This record gives sequence, structure tokens and C-alpha cells, in this order.
Amino acid sequence: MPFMHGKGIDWARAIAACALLFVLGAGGWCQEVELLKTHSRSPYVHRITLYDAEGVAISPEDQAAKPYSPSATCGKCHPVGAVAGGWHFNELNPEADSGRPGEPWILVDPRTGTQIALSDRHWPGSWRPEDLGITPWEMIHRFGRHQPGGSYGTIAFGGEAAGGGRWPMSGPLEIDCMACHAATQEHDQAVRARMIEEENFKWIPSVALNLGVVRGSAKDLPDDYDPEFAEFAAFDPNMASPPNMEYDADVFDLNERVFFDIVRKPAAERCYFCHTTRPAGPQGDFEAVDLDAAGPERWEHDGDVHLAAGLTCADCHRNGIDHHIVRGFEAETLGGELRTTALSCRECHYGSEIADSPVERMGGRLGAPAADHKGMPLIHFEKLTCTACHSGPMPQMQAGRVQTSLAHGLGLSERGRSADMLPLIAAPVFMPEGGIEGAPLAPHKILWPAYWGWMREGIVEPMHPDEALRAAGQVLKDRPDSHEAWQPLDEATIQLALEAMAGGAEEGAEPVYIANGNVYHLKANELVRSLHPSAVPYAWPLAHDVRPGAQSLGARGCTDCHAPDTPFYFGTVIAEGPTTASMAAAMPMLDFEQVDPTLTTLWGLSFKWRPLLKIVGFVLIGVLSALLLAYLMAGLQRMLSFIGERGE
Amino acid sequence: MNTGLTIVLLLLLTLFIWGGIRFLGGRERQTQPRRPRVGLGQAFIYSLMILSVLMLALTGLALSTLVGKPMSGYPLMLHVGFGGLLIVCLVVLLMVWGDRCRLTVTGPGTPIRFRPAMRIPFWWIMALGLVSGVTAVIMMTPLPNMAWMLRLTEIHRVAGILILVPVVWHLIAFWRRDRV
Repeated sequence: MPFMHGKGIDWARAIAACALLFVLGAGGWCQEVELLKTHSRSPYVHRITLYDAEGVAISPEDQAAKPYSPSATCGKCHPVGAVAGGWHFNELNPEADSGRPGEPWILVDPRTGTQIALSDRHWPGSWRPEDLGITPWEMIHRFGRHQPGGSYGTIAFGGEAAGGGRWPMSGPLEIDCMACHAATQEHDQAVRARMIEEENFKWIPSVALNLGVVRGSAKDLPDDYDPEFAEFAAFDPNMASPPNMEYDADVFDLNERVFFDIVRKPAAERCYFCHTTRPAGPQGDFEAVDLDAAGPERWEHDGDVHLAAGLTCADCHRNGIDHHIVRGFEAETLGGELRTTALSCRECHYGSEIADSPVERMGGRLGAPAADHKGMPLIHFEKLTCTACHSGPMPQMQAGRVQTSLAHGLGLSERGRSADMLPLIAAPVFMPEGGIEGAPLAPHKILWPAYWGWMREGIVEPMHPDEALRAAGQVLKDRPDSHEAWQPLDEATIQLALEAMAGGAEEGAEPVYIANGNVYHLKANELVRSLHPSAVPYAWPLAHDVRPGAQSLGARGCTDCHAPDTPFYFGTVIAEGPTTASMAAAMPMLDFEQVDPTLTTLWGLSFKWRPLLKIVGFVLIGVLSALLLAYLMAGLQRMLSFIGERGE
Repeated sequence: MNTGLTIVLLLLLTLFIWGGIRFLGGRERQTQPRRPRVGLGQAFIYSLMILSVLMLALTGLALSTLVGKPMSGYPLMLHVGFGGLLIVCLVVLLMVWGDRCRLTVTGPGTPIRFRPAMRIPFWWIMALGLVSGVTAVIMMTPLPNMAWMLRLTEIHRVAGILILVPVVWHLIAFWRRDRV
């Protein structure tokens, strides 16, 4: 009963809200209303009235005021329906273009030794959450900390089956516009994680923006709690109270409006909350490294060269109001159509033939220099992406480990985040871009999947970690369930767990454990392992941090790659996972690159003699030129003599 | 650019041929009754040159230009290898046959010359071989930028295609060198 504020029903508000809901319900509101626009490069000052989800204006004086709703508040002037179809929010839309594989959600469970890529986009190698029985509710609990809202957070309110959860108590996890568009750090993105633990979803935008505090926790409400009767809690001490929003009156002006410090183009720091990558472990140069050792300090990093030059993420990763954010790879589609704005590396620096704008066809966008690449054979531009030489950690003889915001919760304060924290992600791994055969080589981050599953007729179906725990009995339950102090699985434990699982297996189903690029299963009571398509790593291209030209691969010469001992070709990638180190084999980089090892070795060896070849080539060409010049001169002399004789 | 370059090269070659034919006056035929002998060593070098051109055409023209894919891998290694061999052969042949292929009329004390049908394409081969070689070697230095790399590649390609004409011509003439 949202319109009973202790003083009786506020009929005016109720009628207004009903009218608004009617208009919204009639559909097409966002498209039909002509939106207010300034058409200026100067930002519009957002001193605005806040509205709750029912469209009721919020007053700080109102003790029973609801949390502000970004869709109701921002939706007054912006087409929030269109925004909700954007890249950050359309994962559950089957019509949305998945594009090149990107970073998935990674389900991690240290106790069962699980690290598996999840995504509702159609990215090869990832599993859909529902394949493991993971509901949107669980997705929010596991990954909502780094989601700007919408998607899994609102599906239960869009008429879709959300598969359980305590949504009536938590409310939706709406798209929080300020998560990206806040001009300052006043908006605290880290609040989200804490509030999700409390199941206070609908209060997140208000609290993150520091508009006030929320008292109470939706987690404490009983499962049979009915929000419709929330107003009665004040009269019944035995009744559970829902969380209560307490606004900070100082935030509101005399007209009960709030100043939202908003930028159209978010600062890089806003993006970095979800998109930070951190090298974990030493990032030395061309050395074999101890992967478990501590990584470099933050101050030792230079960051991305574009940011150092004064650009921000959104200078390249742009979007229109539809929020189809440019991811920046070539032949990218936006909203189902080929992108015709020059925003990939090559397009910005050298121009794009397919760009609509004539100046974009010329290149040099935002002052991007067109590097000469002197002496670089053109084949490199066919066989490699720009990122292969310019992006990510400098390759070492053994691919290093990296940690990311989405996978490791970077951005949230934590004490025990060590280099060996799960999931273990390796980078850079050079392979055809996006895993497409014949595509140019690009650096990737890769995750070796590790999970328990049932194999039926050669096809592996993953188990949810909870199912694996149940199926394995006590074998896995006794293991530590800590991200900081996880214990690697050894072969004996895997065998015991598989034996326990086999006891309760259905007809035709064989329990297996996928890890280290192999499938582990029992054969005549022995643990055996073999290669399996389900065990191949999930890989996604990396593009940042971009290193300056002087620190790119090849800056020191051809032998940065073309020698018999270079990381680019002859490095290794450890097929590691939540298992003991002895179970993880070193895979040659050449296997990932899908290139001929003999040819690459020969080519590498040939560069030993290349300086000599050049010298000999120059000498021969010099001799040839000199001889030809001599004959030419002799011929000219003869011709002149001939003309002279004729003249006489 | 390809067309322009091709036209310029064809014009130069036409002038070269025209000039060559003109210098070979009728008097020469009368003053040159016999043809030079080609020793085994020279024939071997010549065979190597033909083999090089064949391999370069196969790797460069057939696998790269006609298919339209950039040359890489084994074809590229073969191309580089046989390219080097071709230049060596050209230098040796120029040293050995240069005087016998001069286009000017013979006189007392001049070596015995090949037939004009061998001499004219010989100089084409040398000129185009030089262009191919120079462009290839320059591309191996850190001098040309991307735009020049593209130009040099095009020049190299055009010269490489054009050289096939005098090579075939010369081969036929060489085969028939003892016939009158």
C-alpha cells in the first residue's frame, strides 16, 4: 500500500501514479514522447525530483519514502527502454548480437574445484547459467556486485520466468545510470556488493549515490513475507519490517530536488570498477616465472597509453542513446548493422574505408598518430591484430596470470587476494582472434575450465557445485571453502569423489571431472585422463593496456618474435586449474597459434642468418648495379661514337 | 598505381628494344659468322636462373598474386631463397655473358656475340632482375614506411611479372641458339 503514509491515503499521488502506470503500461511511452534535449556540448544541470518505482515524487520529509527508482526518475527525460537494450544490459535478450567472445562470468567454487565460464551470450566454450541450474537470483548474488543493473536483476519483473528467488522482498536490481554516469566518486559502486548480500536490491541506487541510508535487511524477511502488507509492520511489532529508506535531507534543496552530478561520457575510473585487469605474479621480461609469487605493485604500472595521452575509455568505446557500446574490433555490428564509425585501432589511426564520415576515412582521429612501422613487412598486418604487438602484458616464456574485476571482485576491498586466487586466468595467449580459424593472431586471456559433470554418450554436462558436493558425499565437503585458502585437488581426491559419484549415477551417466585441458574419469577403478572438447580453454581477446610503440613487440627488432627461443612462438601456457601443479601440463604457444612448428622453428633459425643475407643481398645488388651501369655507359659511349661517325 | 607503373616500364622496355634493334645493323650479321659456345658451367648457372624464375613465379605469381593471399610460410621462405639464388645467377651471367650480349655492333677485337634474339631479352632480364632485387632488399631494411612498403611491393610484383616475358623469350632463343 504505497500511498498510505501514516496519515491516510494520499489520493492525489495515487491517482497520479495510476495515470503514469497506465501511460507506461500502454507501451511506447519512450518512443512516442519527444524527449527534452539541449543539443549543447555543455552538460545539462541535473537538479531533479526523485521518483520511486511507482512514480511518486520523493520527499525527504516523508518517513515512509521509498528508494528512488532510476528508471522512473531518469525515464522522465530519457528512453530507459532503449537504454535497457544496450550492451551492458542485453545479455538475456536472445535477439542481441553476441559479437566476438568477451569476458564471461566465471563461476568459482574452491571447495569443489570449480571454475567455469558462464554467459547467456552465444560465446563458444561458455555455458549458459541455466545449464547448471543457476537462476537469475543466483547470478545476481554471485555477480551482481559488478553489474550495472538490469538483465538478471530485472528479468523477474518483466513477465519472464526467473526460476525462484526472493524478488518480492529484494525488489528489482534496476539499471543504475549513475553507476557509469556519475561525474564524481560520490557514487559508490562497491556498495552494491554489500547491499546484494543484504538482498536490498531496490535500495542500491539510492544508497550508492549517498542519498541516505537504508535501515534493515530484506534478507531477514521471512519467505512468506508479503510486501503488500509492509505498511502494517509499523502497527504490528510481531510483523517483520521491510528495510526502510532514510533520506539525507541535506542532499535535497528547498524544492526537494537533488543535484545529480552527471557526465554523458563516463570517466575511466567508473569503467575500471568492472573492467580492471591486474597482473598477478611477476611480469618480467622473457623469463620463466613463479606464477604464485606476488605481482607488481600498482604504482609500477604505466596504465594504458591512450589514457596517459588524455583519452578516456568512452572516447573509443562510444555509444548512442541505445547504449550499444562500441567494443572496438573490426567488422563489428551494432544493433545488427555493421559499424560504420571508425573506432577500431586500425580505423582510428589509419582511417576506415567503410566509415560514413569523410574525415574518419582519413584516419588520425582524436590525434591518433599513423605509425610508420618502418621496415615492417606488410604480412604482419594481415597475420596479426594491432593488439598482438601492442596490448596486454609483455609475453614471457610462460604466460602469466591476470586477475579481473568480474572474475576476482577487484574494486571490492579484500585482504587475502593472492596471486593464486581462483579463477586462474592466463595471459597473454596468442591465438586466432576470437578462436576463428585463419583469423589474425591476437592476445587472449584464457580460462581452463574445471568442473564436475556427467558424461552421457561422450557429451559432458556440467554439475552445479552444490550438486557435485552432494554427489561426492563427504569427499569434497571436508575441503576448505575459502577463496584465500583453497586447497588444490589431487588425483586421489578426484578418484575418491568420482567413485562416490558413480555410486549414485543414473543409467548411462558417468561422473567426470574436467580440468587441466583433460577429462578425468574412472576406468576399471583407475583414474584416467584424456583430451575432450569440453576441456578446451575458454578464451577471449584482450585489448588493454595498450603499450606505447617503443614497448611493443618488434620494437627491438624482428628477433623479438623470429628467433628459436621467443615467448611469442615458443612460450608455454600452463594448463592450470584448481588442481595440484603436477597435474598441469605446459602447452606450447604454437598449439594455440595453430601454426606449423617446423616452419616456425626454421623461420626463427633463419633470422640468425638474416643480417648476413642482407649484407650478401646488398653486395650482390651493388655488383649487379655496377656492372649494368658499366655496360650502360659503354653502350652510351658507343652510341655517341656512332652518332659522331655518322655526323662526319 | 599498378597500371601507371606497368605503362612506364613497358615504354622503357619498348625504347630499349627499339634502341637495341636499331643498333643491330645489317652489317653485324655479315661480320659475325659464328656464335659463341656455352660451356657446361654457364649452362648450369643458366639452368639455375631458369629454375629460380620458375620457383619465384610459382610462389609469387601463382600462390600469391593470382590467389590473392599474402605470401607467407613455406612459399615465402622458398621465394626469399630462390630470389637470392636468382640474383647470384644474374650477377654471374652478367659477368660471363655481358660482353657477348652487348647490343652495339661488333668490331675487331670484340668477343663473339650471341644472336640478337638472346641479347635483347638478356638486358631486360638484367634490368627487371635489378628492380626486383633492389625492391626486395630495401624492404628488408628499416627504411621504408608502410606506404613505401606498399609501393615497393607493387614495383616488386610488376617487375616480377614482367621478367617472365624476357625469360621465356630468352629461353626459346637459347634453345634455338645453334639454328640459323
